[in-house]
This record gives sequence, structure tokens and C-alpha cells, in this order.
Amino acid sequence: MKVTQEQKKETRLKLIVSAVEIISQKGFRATTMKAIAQQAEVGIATIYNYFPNKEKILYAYFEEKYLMLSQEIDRIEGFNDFELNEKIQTLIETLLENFLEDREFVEEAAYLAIFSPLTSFNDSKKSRDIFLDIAKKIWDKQLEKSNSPTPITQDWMLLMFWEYYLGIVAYWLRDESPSFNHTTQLIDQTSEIIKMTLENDFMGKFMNLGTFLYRTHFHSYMENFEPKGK
Amino acid sequence: MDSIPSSKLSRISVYGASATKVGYNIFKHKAKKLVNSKLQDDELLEENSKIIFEALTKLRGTALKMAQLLSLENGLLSDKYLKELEKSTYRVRPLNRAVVRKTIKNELGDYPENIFESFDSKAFAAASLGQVHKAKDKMGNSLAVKMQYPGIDKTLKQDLEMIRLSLKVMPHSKVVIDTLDEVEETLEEEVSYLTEAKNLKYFQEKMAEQDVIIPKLFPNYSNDKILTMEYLEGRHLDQWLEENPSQELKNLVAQKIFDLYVYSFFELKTFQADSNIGNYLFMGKSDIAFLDFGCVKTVNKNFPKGVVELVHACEINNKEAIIQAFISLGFIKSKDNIVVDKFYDSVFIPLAQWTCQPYLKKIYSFSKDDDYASSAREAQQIISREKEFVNYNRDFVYFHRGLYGLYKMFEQMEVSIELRSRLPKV
Repeated sequence: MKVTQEQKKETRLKLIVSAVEIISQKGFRATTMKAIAQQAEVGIATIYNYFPNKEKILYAYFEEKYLMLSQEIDRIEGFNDFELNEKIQTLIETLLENFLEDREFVEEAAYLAIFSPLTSFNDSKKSRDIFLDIAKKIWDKQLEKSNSPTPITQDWMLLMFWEYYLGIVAYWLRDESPSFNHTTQLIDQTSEIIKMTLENDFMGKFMNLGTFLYRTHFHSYMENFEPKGK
Repeated sequence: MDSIPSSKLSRISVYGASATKVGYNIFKHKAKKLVNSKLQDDELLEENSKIIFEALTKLRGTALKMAQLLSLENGLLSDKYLKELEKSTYRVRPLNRAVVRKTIKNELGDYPENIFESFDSKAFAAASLGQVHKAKDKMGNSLAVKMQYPGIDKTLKQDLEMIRLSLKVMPHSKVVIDTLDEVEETLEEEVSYLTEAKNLKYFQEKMAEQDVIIPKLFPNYSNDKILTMEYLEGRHLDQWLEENPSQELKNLVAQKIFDLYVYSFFELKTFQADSNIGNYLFMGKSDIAFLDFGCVKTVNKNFPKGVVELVHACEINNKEAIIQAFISLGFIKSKDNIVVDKFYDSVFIPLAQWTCQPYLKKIYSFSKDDDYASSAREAQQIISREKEFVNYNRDFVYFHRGLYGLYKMFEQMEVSIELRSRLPKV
């Protein structure tokens, strides 16, 4: 029997959902590939066709969530008219809202797959790129709106944004305020700083300052530097 | 920043900073006083007003509301800042649209685009503890969705604590701190929109026969944090006055507003005690609508009678009758001669004068210049000062506050209306 692309997608999703369920209950360590396969009602061999190990399922979960996010954002009434900080906040809040039903899983996954220093760069890169792609699109639109050139620091700033986002998730996971109001306030205040930083190209200006200082002072100092006692 | 600073730390820092500043001002003032003993307290009031005003508007929400109530009752703020504050409910920076979305989702269970046919995420009006959004439901009804600032209920108590602390350095701070209990109670009522929804329904029912429009409640989109009402197309006082309505029309509308106040105060004994200008909507011709039912008070059933007695006593200018009226109003427990003798001239006469003055003429003309309404604050200060001896009747405070709002509005409209003939007979 030939398995269609549609069916493949469905099975993949089913495996992710099953993994979320079992990991939420038992924790990551105690969960076996076999248990996930059983929960998803697929053969043990089949699961390995999709995911070579448990970690890969974690990343796949986030990939799915980010893809969903991108579609959801497009559906929001008037999103394009939002200010940059409002867009950033909507982006992250919508995502957190989607994480909510899997909060225990996200907590488990986040520490293993995102925050851990052992996280393999290549594994996390794919999901991160999907997320940053959404962020970049938002940013580019904003640049277009204000007729500004793309800053040379953009790629680096996007990576900073990723770190910022991870920080927010970590805060959210520890947030005990009703309706996660503290997280909302934190995003509210920080996103405004991000907006200011980006709109005024602070980073570019800092770099210019750095270059200036280096060229005119540090560099010439080094040129004229003579070790003592000579 | 868009949301209210709600962590205790950031709030403490705002209050703390202002308390220090106020303290410094008093010190400075005292130092100056040594040099120039004639320096008036006005200057101190002015400086302190500025500091308090700055601190409170930064915190918006509770603090803003609190400032309004405090200033109304104790003359804590000078006129200039009081006027600023009255405007400020319209000017507070709105919540950002992402927070609005999240709040709707939290409170009503889904995102606005899934609940409403359309939802304007930019607020069109500010409410004392929140903001109002325009929306349309799937049936095509125009709605006004009032949304409370998230977290405001939690910060309420902290705010009061902080303000108590920081006010300790103020002159006459005891008076202020004492009033805080009452403020706290009022705020706690206002913080639940369920109370307001209940009041809205009450007035809709009780005022059905009256010539006033009260917006319909949409309970499906309402809970303690969100209040959804019918959206009414109308103008606020300023806008209405800009269209230069004729004097007759202005008199007619003002008379109607006063009559409604009399009806709800004397008949229902339940009335809108926070009758600020923003609560009325001018709907074209002489139609008016009531918008806000957050601060509704019910007075003791004998109290309205006492007010009429007092007015009558002033008319005949009889000391015995005036004292008797204050007993009915609950200011004096029984005929206590010591209290009466001590405070008759300093407290009761000024209070009676303020209350009765507009009723001693057949038609009373309000004008922007005579600023009669503002003298209400002096009357309030009189009561506050002698609180230890004179029973501080809350009903009187509410009654006062309601009238103050009305008179302010009438002064702005510059109307001549009949007041005396509208009061019930003794």
C-alpha cells in the first residue's frame, strides 16, 4: 500500500501529539519510543521512519507550533497596522497561548532541547529558523513602511531576538500570576524597548561609535605603544 | 510603558519618590517660613499638588481614581490640578493592542475576531479603571466593550498601602488616611464590573418611565472584568457645547439632568455618586444618556428628607430648624448642646450655606465665573477637619459628590434652571 504525503503528515502529527501526552505525564527520561508508538497506534518500526530519536520529536513539536503561529498571525484583524511592539507582543503571546495546553511538556522540552548547553546547534536550528523567519518578515515590513534600509546588524539582532524569546518562555514557565499577567507586563515593557532600539538603529549607532573609538584612539594608541622599561 | 507598573517594587519607587519630594517640600517650606512668616499654605499646596499629580498619573488606574476621590473630598489638590485630573480620564495612555487581545481571550474565552463580527482594538474612550472598545456582534449590534486593566484588582490593595505610607509625610495626613477606607470600599466595588452590570439593570428598570437613555447590557459578553453595553452615538459635553446649542436648549437639558438626579436621589434613594461630565452623553435635541454606573450609592431612607429639611430651615433662617435638620442628616446623634454650640458657626452654618445657596432663589443661574461648585471642597474640608467631633455622615459625602459633579457641569454649560421647586415637600 502506498502511503500518501497526506497520510505521512498525519502520522507525524499523531506521533508528536502522543509524545506530548506521554512526556507530560511521565517526563522525558521515562518515556520510550515504544510507548510513543503505542500511544499513536503505529508500529515500532514506523516511528523510526519519522524520528530517529526522542529529541527529534521535541524539535518537531516546536516546528509545528511555529508554522501554526505564522498562519495565525496572518488571520489577525488589523495586524499590519499594529506598532512594532504590539506585533512582537502578539507574536509571543499567541505562541504562549498555544503552548498553554502543553505547558508541562514545554517545560520538560524547553530545558532539554532549548536551554541546555548540550543542545545540538543543528537540531535546534531548523525550528529556530522558522520562528526567526516570521520575526524577520515582521521586521522587514516595518522597515518597508518607514522606508528604512535593512541594517547590517539584522542577522545578529535576529539571533538576539531568539535569545530574548527564550528568556520570555523561561519567565513564563515560572510565572505564577493569574492569567500570566506578569509575563504580559514583561513583554509589554521589553517589546517597547526593542521597538525603540530597532526604530532608531541603536545597534548600528553603537557599532559606528565603536569603530570610531577603535580607529581614532585605540588603534593609534596601539601603534604608539611601547612596552615599559625599553 | 503600556501596562500599569504592577510589581510592588516599581510602584513603591514611584510613590517613594513622590513622598520624598513632598517631604522635601515641607522642609523647604518650613525653612522659608522662618524667613518669611507670611508665606501662605497655598504655595505648599500648589507644590505638593504637582508632585502628587505626577506620581498618580504615572500609575493610572486605581491611583488615578483615588486621586479624584481624595481631591474631591479633602481639597488635597489645588484647583489647577483638580482640573487636570478631571481631564485625565480621557488622556491616559491606552493598553497596547496585543494586551487587549490577550485580555479578551482570557476573559471571554476566545480571540476578539472569533467572538465579534468586528472589534476595534484601539480604545475609543478611557474608563476610570479601564478602557472602552467599539465592536459589532454577529447580529449586527453596535457594542461598547469596557475592559478593565489586567491586574488592577491585585494592585488595588498595594496601591492603597503605598499611598498610606507615602502620605504620612503630608500635612493634615490623618484626614487623608482616614478617608482612604472609604475610598478603598468605593474602589473595590468599582473593580468588579458585575456590580456595575447590576446597577445598569437596576436603573434601566427603575428609570424606564423617565426621559433618559440607558444603554442595554449584553450579559453574554460581560463578566467581572468586561462589561459590554450597547454603543450609543452621542457627544460629550465639550463637543456638544462646541455646536453652540441655544440657551433654551441648554437650560432644558440641564433641567432634565437635574430632575433625573432628584428623581433617583429622592425617589429611588439610589443614585450615581460620581456624576462626572464623562458619564453623560448628549444624543441630539434634548436627549441624554447615562453611561457609567460604577459608583452607585444608596443612602439611608431618612437622609433625603433631611436635605429638604435643611433647605427649608435655611429659607426661614431658623437656628433650631437648622440643628434639627443636621440631626435628621445624621451629623449629630441627639441634641448635644456642647457639639452644637462649639460647631454651629464653624461647621454647620458653612455646610448649610453651601448646600442651600442654590435653592434660595426660584431660578439659579450657574456661570463659569462664580465657581460655586468648587466651594464644595471647602465645605468638605470643614467636615474633615472636625471629624473627631462631628459625625462624618457618608451619605452626605456621596450626596455632595454627586451634586458637585452636576454643578460643575452646569457651570460649564452656563445654565439657569429651577432647583428649589423640584425638591420634594417637607
